[in-house]
Amino acid sequence: MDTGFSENTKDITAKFFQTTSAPNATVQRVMEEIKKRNEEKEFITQFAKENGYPVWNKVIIGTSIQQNNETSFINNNSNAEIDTTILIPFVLVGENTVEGFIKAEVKQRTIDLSYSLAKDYKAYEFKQDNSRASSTSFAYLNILLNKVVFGVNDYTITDPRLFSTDTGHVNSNNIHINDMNITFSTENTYRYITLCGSTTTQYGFCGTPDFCRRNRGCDAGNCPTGQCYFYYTTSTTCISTLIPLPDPMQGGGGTGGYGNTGEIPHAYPCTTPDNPTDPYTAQSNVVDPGNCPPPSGGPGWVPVLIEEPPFDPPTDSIPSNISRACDKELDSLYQWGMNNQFREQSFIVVKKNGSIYLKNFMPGFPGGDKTRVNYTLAAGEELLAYAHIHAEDTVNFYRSSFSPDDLIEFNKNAYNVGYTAILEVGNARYAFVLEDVQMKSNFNISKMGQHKKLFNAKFNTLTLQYPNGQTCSEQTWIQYLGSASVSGIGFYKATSPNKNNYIKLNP
Amino acid sequence: MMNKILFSLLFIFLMNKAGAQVSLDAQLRNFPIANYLNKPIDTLIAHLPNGFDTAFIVSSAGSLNRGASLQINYPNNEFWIDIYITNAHFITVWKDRTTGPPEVLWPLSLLRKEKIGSIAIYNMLCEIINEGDIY
Ligand SMILES: [Zn+2]
Repeated sequence: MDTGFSENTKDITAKFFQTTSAPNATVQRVMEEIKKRNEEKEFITQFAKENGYPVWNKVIIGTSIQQNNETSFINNNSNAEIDTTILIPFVLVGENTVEGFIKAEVKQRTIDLSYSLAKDYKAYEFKQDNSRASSTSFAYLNILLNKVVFGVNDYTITDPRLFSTDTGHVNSNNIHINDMNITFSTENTYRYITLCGSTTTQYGFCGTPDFCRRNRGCDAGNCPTGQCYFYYTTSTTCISTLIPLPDPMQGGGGTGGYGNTGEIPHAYPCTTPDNPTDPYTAQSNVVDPGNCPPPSGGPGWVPVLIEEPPFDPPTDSIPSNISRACDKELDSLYQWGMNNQFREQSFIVVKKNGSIYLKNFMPGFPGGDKTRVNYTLAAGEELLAYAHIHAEDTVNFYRSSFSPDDLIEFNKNAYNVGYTAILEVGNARYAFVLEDVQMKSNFNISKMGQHKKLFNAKFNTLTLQYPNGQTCSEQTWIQYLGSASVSGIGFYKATSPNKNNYIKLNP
Repeated sequence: MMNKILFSLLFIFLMNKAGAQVSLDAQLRNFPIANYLNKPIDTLIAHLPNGFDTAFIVSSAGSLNRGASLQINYPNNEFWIDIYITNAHFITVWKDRTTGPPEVLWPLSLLRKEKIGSIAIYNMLCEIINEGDIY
């Protein structure tokens, strides 16, 4: 041990290697390697001050089999080796986001180290896809690491260039991580750790062409053209850990050497023309900082710490809870539908590990096609509700309540008490809630599959009495279902401005 | 009511046991739905197992004002078929439902010319026994 270390340096170094639980043998090898390098030339104090401390019990580990071949990756070994790749997130004291990560390539005899910062995403290409060298992929990797460390599922995207496929019109606003898992993939004889995350992303569509690009934001909420809206997409994105490797010929990060000697170099792609940004082809990813300065600024995203919606005991009910969980989405989808030829968009509400979230947003059709609902669930998810909108032209039509098709759709998955169908019609929301499974079955069987015929017949008889279509559809349901204490299906309505405050229409 | 269901189930059971002829249940379970997707409803009607009720039921397909769908029943509602169209060309999709019954808003003669987007076949226990769609 270098006795020249100050007391402060000793404290910082001890804190740098502090763990809450015993790390596995491979992680311990990495710790030993960093200790060894630090003893040769002290760098941890500076590193910890600038970048923070590793979270050793939240690392991501994957095994890869590396074959010798002629790719541009550094590969000094002639034989195939079993390697382990470890991503170690680090966090600044007092911060609630991951600052970056150390990447350790653990081989039989050597350990290669480099680190990346979340803000490095700007050094990657703003390709409008999720390819491995894109800024979006890199930012997404850091978001997933942040979820691993802090357990936060919701993020606001602060750089509109991220996660967008059309920066002229489309601005990504928020993403919610539904689920994530770590898998292994093989590509060009390499196996990489792959992080797959299923996310629901809220996009804003700007009515003003190029608004997003010029303003780094979207006019969806404040729309001069009347053509702006929000929409949602659920997708699964996988990211392989292809972090650019520093060039052994040039030395890493401008100071230390790359690889298995010296301090930990900072690895980021250099976007100057002689330094292509694709790590597969890059010849020199770490270069003289003079002509390739490290990126500055923030990571392009911030975690959203969701406050619990206010609990309102007098109005609390099953539809209220579910409606609150998708309040903003129902309103904006309705707006979106009104701007898009009356489409009926749907999604499902699921629960997993105590958290409730929305997924499987499906666009509707302008034509006569059936409204589709995608009920695909990931492991551990429980279906709570299906939701859709009736975005109708209110000049020629009216904001009708459920149709008989909606009851048939509801019945498809109505097996557990509390299962709900939510319908947004603009000035009101409606809900069906399963309140008694046996009564519901008896009710359906008694109708002998003739919901459409019987409902339509009842509606026809009520149009004179209730010329307002919304009222007529509502009254038809009240009469058709009868009391929920007999049919087992509760029929609820919440009226604007408080569309989460439901009243049971068929007690 | 319950007796009627039990009787029907018993009947289906006996029919299957007898094996003398292919039951309607088996015919509908094995009906090649995929062959009729994207084809006019008329084509489907021409090839359905015999015995269906010719009083077809026209209804909406989304909200009450958006048409249209067709339901075809077998006697005693032992089975029924829900048919939804795609990309309507003959009917006018949007109609104010308060102005008339579905079969007037979306005339059957026009609806039958529309192409099929999805088909679901139900039994009297409201179970889907066969389905398919173009999506
Ligand atoms: Zn509907």
